[in-house]
Amino acid sequence: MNPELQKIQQKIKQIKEKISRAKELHLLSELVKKL
Amino acid sequence: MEENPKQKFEKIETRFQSIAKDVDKHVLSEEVEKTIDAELGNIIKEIKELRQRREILLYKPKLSTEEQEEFAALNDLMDDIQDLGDLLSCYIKNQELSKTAIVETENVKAMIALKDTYKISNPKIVEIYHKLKIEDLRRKNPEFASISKLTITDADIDAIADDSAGDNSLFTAILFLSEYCTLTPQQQERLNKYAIKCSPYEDSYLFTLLLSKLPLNREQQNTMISGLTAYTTDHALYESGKDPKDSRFGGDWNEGFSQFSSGFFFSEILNSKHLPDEQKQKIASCLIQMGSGTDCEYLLKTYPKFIDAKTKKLAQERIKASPENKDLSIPSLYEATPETFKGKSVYFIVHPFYGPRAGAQDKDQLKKYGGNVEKMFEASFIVQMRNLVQKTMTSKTGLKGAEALGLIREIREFKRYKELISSPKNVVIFALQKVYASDPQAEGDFYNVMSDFNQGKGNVFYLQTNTKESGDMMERDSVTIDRLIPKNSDITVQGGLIGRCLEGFTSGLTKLEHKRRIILDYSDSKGAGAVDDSGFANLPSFIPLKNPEDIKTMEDVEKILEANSALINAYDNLVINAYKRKPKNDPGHSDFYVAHQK
Repeated sequence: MNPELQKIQQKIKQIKEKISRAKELHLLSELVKKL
Repeated sequence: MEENPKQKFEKIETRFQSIAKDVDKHVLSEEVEKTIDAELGNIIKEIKELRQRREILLYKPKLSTEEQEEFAALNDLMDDIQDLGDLLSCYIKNQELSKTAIVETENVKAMIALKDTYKISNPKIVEIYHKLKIEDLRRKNPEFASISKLTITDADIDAIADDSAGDNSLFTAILFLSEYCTLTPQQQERLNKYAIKCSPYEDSYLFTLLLSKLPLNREQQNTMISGLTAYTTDHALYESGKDPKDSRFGGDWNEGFSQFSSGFFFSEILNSKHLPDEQKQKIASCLIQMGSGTDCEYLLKTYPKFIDAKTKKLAQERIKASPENKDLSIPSLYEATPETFKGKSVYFIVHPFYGPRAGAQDKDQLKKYGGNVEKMFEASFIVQMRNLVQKTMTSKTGLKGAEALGLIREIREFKRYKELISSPKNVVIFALQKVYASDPQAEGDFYNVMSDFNQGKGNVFYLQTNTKESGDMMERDSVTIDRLIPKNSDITVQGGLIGRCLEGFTSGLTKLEHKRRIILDYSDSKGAGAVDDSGFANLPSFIPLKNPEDIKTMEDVEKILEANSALINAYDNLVINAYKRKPKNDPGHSDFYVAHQK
């Protein structure tokens, strides 16, 4: 695959991981607020 | 006839723009579509939500430890989104240049738009970046490489600078030449010399941009920073109700720094590759001194490195004094939900006339009237009317109508806002225009006392926005308004201490992603900018009707208002007709909203 596309895919992978992490942290913030 | 340097310059610029327009219809290969498009679609959905969450956290006065961690993670994520947008833009352009496959997907367009809107929202910056985009194409496209190297002579530089002198086009000319021309070091120096002659009083915003984008030497940086510091001092004098030292400040005070809430603009300055950290510290101090509470919060959170202890203290004071952080009894619009707006009529009251006068009518004052807001205001109206009548009696020529308008408008606005707030069928949002907020303390007090008419209904909010005359609206505000207010709602905008902010705010609303019918109510606007002074001077005189000592109740006040109905009608007609005379495509035209129906 074209190296530029590889970079794009790699970035997408990173973003997906970070989205999951941000969502976890949001849930955590909400949970702490309720406790 | 031979073209002058400015004509040459414009011709080349036009050609670049036309090429850039063609290339804007960018294309993608099928390979990209297959491999990344589906994933992009999912990311876009997630990102929109997370971006809103980040905005909420960004402007929250205090964050818990968990929220701080979440905020950092979201910031990190946004950086990656930015990178992805850049990678995609770059890929698209290369595809275009190699004339490969032609498939454009909605997801890719949306992704790039997301990146663009995230980073770039200010029209001036967009303009400059549009040119940067052209430059980027120029580098990559051999077809116009031959014209890409815009070389320029010393005489050209002088001619362009001369042509642009006297208004802020000199700023953009310097920025453009510096970025798009192949300049010798001597020519760059020549441009720098023009830059240091620029004044922040012409355009404080572009002035600061120049300071951060030009390769100035230390001495030149110091000269420009001194100019910015003097401007900052004048800003502080103005804020505290004193006269600025430089008389040029008065006409231009709201022009530049109102745009500072753009995080992107802060980034341009404080991430400048030309400025050393200690110079950035000095500039950050100016930004803090002129910024709103929300600006200060943003700068403290995002650029702590450039904020020394003294500036940090000042920032904290400004945050504390900001209406958003006052002990307000009405919530911020950011605390509303779409549910709040269901089946309700929506009113934005833009910078109420009342604000600056409400300082005396705070909660302490309220105690004197047993907590009854209406009684407190009425007592104030009775005293003010008595004083007005007294003034009429003692003046040899009587009182000109325009001199009575302040109180007349004040009484009228109070009644109108009370009625709007009292009805559970409405949602009322006080939109404070920070650039005009000469007295945020009083503004906050006003919101507090007016909330009395809202007890338990939960239908009044405030919004500290950044809209100014040109209708720029902070991106976070647009996103929030779009998210909260149902798509088929009408929005009524009224208020407008001097008129221009009303037009600016309305103009901002017409740019929302989802178009809604916007109704302008001019009845509370002074119409400044639309009505000239001679119009006010020709209004009928004020009729006192009674002796000052006979004005004891609100009924007495009302009778005087009735006696002055000719003055009130003449004033209303003056304002409305002035707006009618505006061009139909002007947000200040009274039929403007018709063109923006959903």
